[in-house]
Amino acid sequence: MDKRKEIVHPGEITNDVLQNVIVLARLDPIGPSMTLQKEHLKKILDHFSVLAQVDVSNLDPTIHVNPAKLPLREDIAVDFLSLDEALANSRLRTQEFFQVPKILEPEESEKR
Amino acid sequence: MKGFNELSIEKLKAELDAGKISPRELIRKIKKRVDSIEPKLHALNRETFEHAFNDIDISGSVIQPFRGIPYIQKDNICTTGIPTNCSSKILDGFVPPYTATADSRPTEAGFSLIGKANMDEFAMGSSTEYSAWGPTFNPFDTSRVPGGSSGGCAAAVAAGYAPLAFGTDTGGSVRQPAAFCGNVGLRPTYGRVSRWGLVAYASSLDQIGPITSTVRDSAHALSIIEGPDSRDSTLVDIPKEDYLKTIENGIEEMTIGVLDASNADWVDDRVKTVFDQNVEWFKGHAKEVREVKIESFDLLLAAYYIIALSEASSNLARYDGIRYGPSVDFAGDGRDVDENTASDLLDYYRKNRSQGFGSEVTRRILIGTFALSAGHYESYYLRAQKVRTRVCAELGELWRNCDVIINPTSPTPPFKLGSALDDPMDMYKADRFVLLQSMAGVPGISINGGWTDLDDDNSTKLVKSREKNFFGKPVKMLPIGLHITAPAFAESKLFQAARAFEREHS
Repeated sequence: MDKRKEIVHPGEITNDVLQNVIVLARLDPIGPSMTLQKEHLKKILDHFSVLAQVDVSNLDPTIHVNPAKLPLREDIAVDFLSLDEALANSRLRTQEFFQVPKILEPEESEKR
Repeated sequence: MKGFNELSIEKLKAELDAGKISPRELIRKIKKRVDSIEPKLHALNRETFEHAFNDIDISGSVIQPFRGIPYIQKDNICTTGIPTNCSSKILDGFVPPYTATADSRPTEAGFSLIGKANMDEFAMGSSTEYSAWGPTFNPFDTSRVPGGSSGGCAAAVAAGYAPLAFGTDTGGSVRQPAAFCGNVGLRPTYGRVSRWGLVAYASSLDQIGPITSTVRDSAHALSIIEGPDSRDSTLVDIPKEDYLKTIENGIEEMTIGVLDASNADWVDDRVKTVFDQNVEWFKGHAKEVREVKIESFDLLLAAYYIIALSEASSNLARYDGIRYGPSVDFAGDGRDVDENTASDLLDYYRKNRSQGFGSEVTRRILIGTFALSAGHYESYYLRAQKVRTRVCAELGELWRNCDVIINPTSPTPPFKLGSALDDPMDMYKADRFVLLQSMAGVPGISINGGWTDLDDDNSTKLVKSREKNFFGKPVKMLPIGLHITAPAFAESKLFQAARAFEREHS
């Protein structure tokens, strides 16, 4: 079996694939920068295709280089940041909250 | 303090302890030096001398072992009340409400913070050219890069701003700039130093490490920042060691492995010449020197970048302009939107992120997002993690027959500004010798292995004195780094081997 088929051929980095990645990444590179990014992405992914030639069938993934051990602490509330400290770096705030654009459609009654 | 790159923690401590200079006087002298050099070097994103003077005044007569000795933090290590911007527009104006453990510990030991160092944006780069505030220059030749991403730290230590700077090393970002600036750069074992307060890039790889002028100073610095911290769950519970106790023991009983890739055709001849001289020295001093090979070495670059960029795309998802950093305006109902106005929440995210991140960070987020996306995850991220397992196993086998492994730190001498910007792969390839340690989580140190003579590209030689390279003088020599790797948590062996070499060459 040709293992290279598992890897996307750099030629398959189409505008649609790139557009999907841009949406997922919440980015909006536009114009010439998008063309250049596409060219660079192809080149980099082409280099990454070297991994396709490796037999990894009997290997487990390394997620963490040290033996995983989950340290637990007492379930006690600890003071950390005050409300003002937590909000201090936000450009927009309203009362005790970060302010963001509306994410809910207005109620029908409000529309009327 | 007449020369160049001659500050050391031990020397300054001796002078301070003997009362030859006061902490305030020392910081004043340092400030004078920074004032004269910084316009030509651009090593710092901001100076914090007022903070340093305040610290000295507040500490008063408190007994602190390193009171008044200046140090520098990379601009991705959080410092309460002092802006920490990661050289990124997206964190412009961010002032951390907490302090990293790697900053509170040196402060408690008496060190005085004099500045936050320039870096590649979010530590993504190998030249410090990807900083939103402009590049740092190599103090030995300002037409060349200082390495990266901790290039500001390395340049500042080399230029005599401070004997100590803390950088971060995800894939060589402490060691490679240390090599390019003739310093000592240490990447500790993954899990030895708390990362609380470090702005995350790639969490399974990130480590904080010191850049110093000497190996002994590096051991002092590690001793100060290591140790338990309940706020970092990746720390390994291991007793602290007294590195200074064994550091002068020499290498007579050590077997040295020489990584065979050191002789690859992609290694610059000037680097090879210096490294060959380094190997000859080890042959004359160690118990045995033997060639060693990592079969998967050529896979490291791809596997490392897939893992690092995937983790980066996840870590950097938090930057949306809401909780910190600059942001565009909201559009009112019925308003036309432009590039500085968002129509809805998604548009708000997209515009804040696209305007805040630089081109290299954008590229890395895109690649990482692609590698983690449905349909590609197994072929890229999972496969890279499995290759990482293989690399760890191969390196583990080598420790049966050798105590430490040596290779050049970088395949090239410090390169010209702009020369690796057109093709991102050129920049990534600068990291080839420093990825093994990051992937396996083992410690590595870069020390000065020698110098290459720019007057004659084919001529290289070891130089015993750095005084020929005073900042601002005609450039003739560039530093070449020697890299030493040890097994996990064997930093004492690392320091021993590095110090043995340094003792005869500095």
